[in-house]
Amino acid sequence: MDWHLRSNWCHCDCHCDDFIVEVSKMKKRVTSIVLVLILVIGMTIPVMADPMPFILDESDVLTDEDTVEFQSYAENLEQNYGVQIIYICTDLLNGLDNETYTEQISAIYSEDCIILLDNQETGTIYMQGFGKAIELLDDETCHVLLSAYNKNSTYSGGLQAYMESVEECLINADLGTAKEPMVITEDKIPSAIFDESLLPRLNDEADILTAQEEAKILGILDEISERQMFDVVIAVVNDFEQNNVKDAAYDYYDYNGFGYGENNDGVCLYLSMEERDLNIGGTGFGIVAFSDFGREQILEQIKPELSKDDYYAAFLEFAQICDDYVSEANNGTPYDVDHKPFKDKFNSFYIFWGVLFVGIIVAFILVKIEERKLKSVHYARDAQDYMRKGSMHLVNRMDCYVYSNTVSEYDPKNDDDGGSKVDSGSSGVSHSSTSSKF
Amino acid sequence: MGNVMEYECPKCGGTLEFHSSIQKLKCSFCDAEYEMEEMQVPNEAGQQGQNMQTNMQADSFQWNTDAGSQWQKGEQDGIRVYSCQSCGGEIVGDATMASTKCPFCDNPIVMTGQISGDLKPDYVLPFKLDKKDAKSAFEKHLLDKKLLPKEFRDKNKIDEIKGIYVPFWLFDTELDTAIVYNAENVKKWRSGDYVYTKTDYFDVLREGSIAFENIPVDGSSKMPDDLMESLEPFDFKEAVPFNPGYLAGYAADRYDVDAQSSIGNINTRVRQSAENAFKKTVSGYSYVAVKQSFVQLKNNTVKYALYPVWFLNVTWNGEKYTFAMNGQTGKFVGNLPIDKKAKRSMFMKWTGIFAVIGAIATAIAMIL
Repeated sequence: MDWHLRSNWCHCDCHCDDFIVEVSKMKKRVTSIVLVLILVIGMTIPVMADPMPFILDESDVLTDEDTVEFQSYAENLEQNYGVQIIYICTDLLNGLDNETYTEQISAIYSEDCIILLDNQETGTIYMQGFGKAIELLDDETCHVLLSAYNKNSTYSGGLQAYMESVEECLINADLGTAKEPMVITEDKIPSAIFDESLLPRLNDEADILTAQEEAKILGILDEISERQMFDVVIAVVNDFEQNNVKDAAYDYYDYNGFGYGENNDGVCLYLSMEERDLNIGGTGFGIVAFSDFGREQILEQIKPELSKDDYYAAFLEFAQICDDYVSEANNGTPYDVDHKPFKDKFNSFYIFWGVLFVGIIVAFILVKIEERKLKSVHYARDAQDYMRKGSMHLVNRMDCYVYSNTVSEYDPKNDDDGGSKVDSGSSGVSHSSTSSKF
Repeated sequence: MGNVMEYECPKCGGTLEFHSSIQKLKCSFCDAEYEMEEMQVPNEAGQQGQNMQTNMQADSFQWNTDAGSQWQKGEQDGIRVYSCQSCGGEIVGDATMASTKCPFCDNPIVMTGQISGDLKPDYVLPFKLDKKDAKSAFEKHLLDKKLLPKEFRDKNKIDEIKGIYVPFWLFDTELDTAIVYNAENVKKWRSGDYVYTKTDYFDVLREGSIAFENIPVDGSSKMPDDLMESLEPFDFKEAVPFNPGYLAGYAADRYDVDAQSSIGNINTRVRQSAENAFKKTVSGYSYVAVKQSFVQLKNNTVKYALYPVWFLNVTWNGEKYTFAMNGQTGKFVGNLPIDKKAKRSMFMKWTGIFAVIGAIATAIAMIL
């Protein structure tokens, strides 16, 4: 009788059967070992080959070189401070809101991280801190970090400034033990900044304000805007590319997502420092609240401070005036030619002196008239009374044209009927605005 | 008829006086009235002026100043010359002239003799208004004058009211004139934010002739020229050939400025009138002004006439004020004193009223 492995179901019952069972068991054992090895190796390879991606540029706003550079920067920050700084620029959130999306992303990173999400789909920016990063992100720091990102006109420039600001914060921070992830909610920072528009309501690109002044004014603008549900925006740029300051202001407002509601209600004060041009423009309900006359009045109020380069005072005044204008418009009585915004005591002073001056002239004239009544003796000027009737004969008449002179004078029309003249920017959104030099 | 020069009433022999209200001689005793023609003394007309050569490149103001005529025999007999020892003024009047005061300085005058050597007037414009009219005109002249001192109105003293025939040289002339005017037409229009003003400039020529008659210039150095010119116009149509009878009851100022010397202002007056008259033919322009004018007189004559003037002299605060009334039309002239205090008060009153209005307006503006 031949017995070998290949005939395990052969006729050799006992021994063959036992051997076959043992071989089977061995096979299983070997297979398991191989599988474990594969798993281990498989899990190890990625760790040994690539680090975690901290710069997720799905919208391709950065060049490859920039992405590598920023990735390296983020890795250094993690290495030095133990906090991962993640930047995501995407338009594929699959219907998720910023917070949910960020939460999900944070799961694949360490528990100490800060995620900056640039949502290209909605045009908003969202920032959330986790773990130790929560302590870093107080109100002021958030503003500083986001301003750094927004200030720059390019994505790479903005991201660079943002990461430098983060590094500065990390250097200064004394990181403790955080318990829960910190979410930047509407309670902590107005959501309008992060959820509604790309830029803060005060954008001091030309750096004419100090950090404290900027923070103060931005706070006021935010408070007014949220309370009135009406964006009050100030932008200071070095120069503009458009043909005129009006177009530049329109584009700035429209393409940076400002404005409440479907009509983008708001008002924008736009200054260009190189040309010293400014524009005040209303959008949506702002066209009603800020009439042509009303905008002229605002200009008159803030121009003296702007001319003296006292921008802080001018912007403060602008914010307060806008608050008043919007309130009046909400009451159904927007400021216009028939409902003037300012009780100008200065003009009232002029009324008195003007009337008095007229009175002096009138008194002088009346006295002269009475004085002339006392004088009735004078030389005769002509001999009209002694002209013989019908004696005048015209024998020659000639009218010769000599020359002409034309003078033109710039005199813009004043629309005394009130209201606002409306036009639109390149986006097609309607605005009304007033431009001037300062 | 009696002595023409004495003008005795034919009925009763009383003295005839010329009454301006009825334009007749009237007897002061029997009230008989006589027309002037009944007492007429023929006179001779003045000479005609010679034609002037016109030259429109330059002015030519040459006046023919022959006027008046010689007295006929006997006409001067009843006329006397009275002289003022104070101011040297001389008047002529009839021998029965009641006035003994100088019309110029109010001092007494003395008769120095018969009139002689003077020209006889060609015409006389008789008095139409009498002394009563002069007085009431003076009182009316003081009304409605807020700056006249109250004391003057209440306490003025009329020293005397005198009717004087003032000697006038009456100039007739035709003149040729060429006037160049600057004329402009202005148009304004708006285009966008610009207002355009176009001014077209023109030179306008008007050439022609015009005539004047009986332009009066007083022939007395004692009569202020501005006072006499203020009394104009005199209507020559009511003038009559001179008759010494008109002097009865009145004085006549003796001329001491001949026609040539009295021309003075007349050239300016005729030029101004010519420019104004021809300017009316320049139409269709926004602005017209005289650039240059040439005047050449021709066919001019002069007459010597006596025009009636009532004089009133008033003394107030040691100062003499002279008033005059046109004895034909009643026009009353004369400068009055100014109450400086009242002038200041009026000025302050109106300024104060407007200051109050200004304060109220300011308060209203601040409240609204």
